[in-house]
Amino acid sequence: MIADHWPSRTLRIGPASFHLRSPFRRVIDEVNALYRDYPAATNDGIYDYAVNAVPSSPLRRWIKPNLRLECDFEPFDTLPLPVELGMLGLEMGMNLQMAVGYRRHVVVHAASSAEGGKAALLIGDSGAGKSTLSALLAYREGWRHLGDEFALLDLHAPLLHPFPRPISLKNASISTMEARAPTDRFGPVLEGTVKGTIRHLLPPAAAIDAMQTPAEIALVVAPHFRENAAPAWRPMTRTETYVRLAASSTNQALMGEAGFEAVWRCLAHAPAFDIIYGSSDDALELFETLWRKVTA
Amino acid sequence: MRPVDDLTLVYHRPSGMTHVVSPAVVAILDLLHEQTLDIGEVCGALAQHHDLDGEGDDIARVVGARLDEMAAMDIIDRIA
Amino acid sequence: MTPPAILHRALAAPESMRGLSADDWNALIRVGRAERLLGTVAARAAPLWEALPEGALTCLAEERDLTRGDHLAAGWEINRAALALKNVGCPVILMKGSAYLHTGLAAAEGRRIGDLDILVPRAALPAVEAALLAHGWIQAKENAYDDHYYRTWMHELPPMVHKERGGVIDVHHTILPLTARLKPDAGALIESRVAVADGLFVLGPAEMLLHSAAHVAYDGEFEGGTRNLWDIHCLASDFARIEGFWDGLAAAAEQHQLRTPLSRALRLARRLYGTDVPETLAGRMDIVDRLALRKLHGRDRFGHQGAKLSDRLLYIRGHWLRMPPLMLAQHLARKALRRKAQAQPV
Repeated sequence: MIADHWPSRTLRIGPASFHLRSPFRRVIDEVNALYRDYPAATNDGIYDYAVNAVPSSPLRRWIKPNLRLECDFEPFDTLPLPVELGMLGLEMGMNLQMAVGYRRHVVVHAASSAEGGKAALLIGDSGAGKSTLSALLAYREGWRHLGDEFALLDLHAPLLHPFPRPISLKNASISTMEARAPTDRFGPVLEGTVKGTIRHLLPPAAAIDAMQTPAEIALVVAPHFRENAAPAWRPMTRTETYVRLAASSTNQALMGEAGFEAVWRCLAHAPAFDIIYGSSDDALELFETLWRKVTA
Repeated sequence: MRPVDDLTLVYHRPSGMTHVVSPAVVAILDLLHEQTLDIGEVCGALAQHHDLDGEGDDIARVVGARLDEMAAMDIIDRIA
Repeated sequence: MTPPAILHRALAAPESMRGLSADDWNALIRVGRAERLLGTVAARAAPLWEALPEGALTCLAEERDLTRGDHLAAGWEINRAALALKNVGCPVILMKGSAYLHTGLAAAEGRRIGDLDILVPRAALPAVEAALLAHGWIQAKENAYDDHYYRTWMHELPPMVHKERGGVIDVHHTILPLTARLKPDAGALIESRVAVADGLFVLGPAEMLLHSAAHVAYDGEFEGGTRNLWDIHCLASDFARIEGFWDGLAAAAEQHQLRTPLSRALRLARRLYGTDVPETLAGRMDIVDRLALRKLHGRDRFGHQGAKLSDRLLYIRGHWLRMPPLMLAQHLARKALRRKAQAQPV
């Protein structure tokens, strides 16, 4: 049973809202610290998705505590998590709601950033470098962070909607960003997760303040980081871009013609490039060269 | 249908699925839109519309292969 | 009012949604999602859409879109199965959600539809299985115990999944497991069929309602009871317009040994949704009804069902009805051993 008096937090991120709840106070305290800049209420008190981190059995609340997720959309059972990783569990739960239940936009597993009113979509497999490049852009003058996990494609116009969750930095990219972003924007270091060491980076407050403002899609980039690689780029065909976008979307295939049209509109509107680089400086330089080329 | 590069994206309304297809498939789909034809009729119409000359057997072989692919994609049904 | 009661009332009397507080809406959305009925709530809310708060509309519209996706996929699975089974030479009878959808019954409005369920004569099972295998379906269960369990004791082939589309088809030859104490007359069920589009069939009205009633009583723990009972409510309300329907239903229930489950389902539907049911058919509430009602009201405002002793009793009862005691003990032991292996890493 989930109790009414358990610590909880309502959270608005871009167009979605979540209600997080757990009997373990430290989990909600960590959420409140990391999400301090995000609105804690919805306009009418009704929220979209509930995500609960509950003791994995009644005894586990008190003895060797660990927890499991209970959410509105739960496609599979998850293994119990230690309480120290409880906040990560709630984030995973929020991802699950977006991936399984969200139907207001086409959800693409991608990062996105905007400059002026125009946006770049960064696609690619986990670990290819999209999260790091998006973190670099988040703290670069002139750029607005839209999201590092999910990009939301409008169903009627070539627009990207922000979903600016704290950026999930992994392993080597943690120190890369520690050198570039203010200390007070980082969450605790989380070790021993299935993805190695994770540390959250809160986007600049301006990006969170502007999270209801979409941007026009202008560029699609598939970044690849390879140690010491010389910077290089090649245009992607539209067929390749379509296949990659469709494959990295969690809901496009389930949204019928509207989903098809949204991805098509993205292709028709934004040229796409595959880029490879061996350092953060090269990544930014190459990316901004392409950006100037397509937005000139 | 949306052209991209030299291929075409086809959104198939009954199934909600999208397929990437070649120009030959598009031509056959146009022919089979809301009608049923046998393979000979498809070849004849294609030859006429697109000014194809060459061996009838060649056309029949290519069209047969495309029709098999299209049936496998469930965008056409073989009814006999 | 319990959180599930907000859902029951929203379905039966959509106007009640005008007066809901934010807390009520949050509870309705959670319980509705947990029972897979929020899409139905969205369909019922259509006439008063303008009057509802923005946060509720967002969730209802999203659920409506989820349901549309289901119906598109289900319609295509029906179409493909009809094609695959066209030359098998036996009647193919759609059941449950797919039947309601293909027949355009009110029960389909906003209903989530997952697997495709069909009923065929038992003698035709090998031919049906072969035809499906030839058209891209494959066996979904790799576990030999499961395969044996389905083929020997259940009323269906092991579920098959289409290798390209991922759609699941369940092929039944009767409506209750072979192990169940009650033995519906499978031949008569098939005889009752009514032709619908694409060369397919659905069960006759009385038999369709009986099948749904059998699910209410036989799904362990009254699992999914809220939704099964909503199906019953919709079917009963639709079919009551047919001349002589209730008498035909009573006779069919006797023929198929389903009088007790039918009466219970009708009583519970009346209790939850105010279904108009003849008194003679409904009969009187009993202890199982009371346990079931506790279960049907058991979700909290986050949509979670507490594990109470009364639920445990219902679980054992559901399985008891389906299996002889020794087999039940073996089956529960195997399930318990396997539960751990099914959890996935995060």
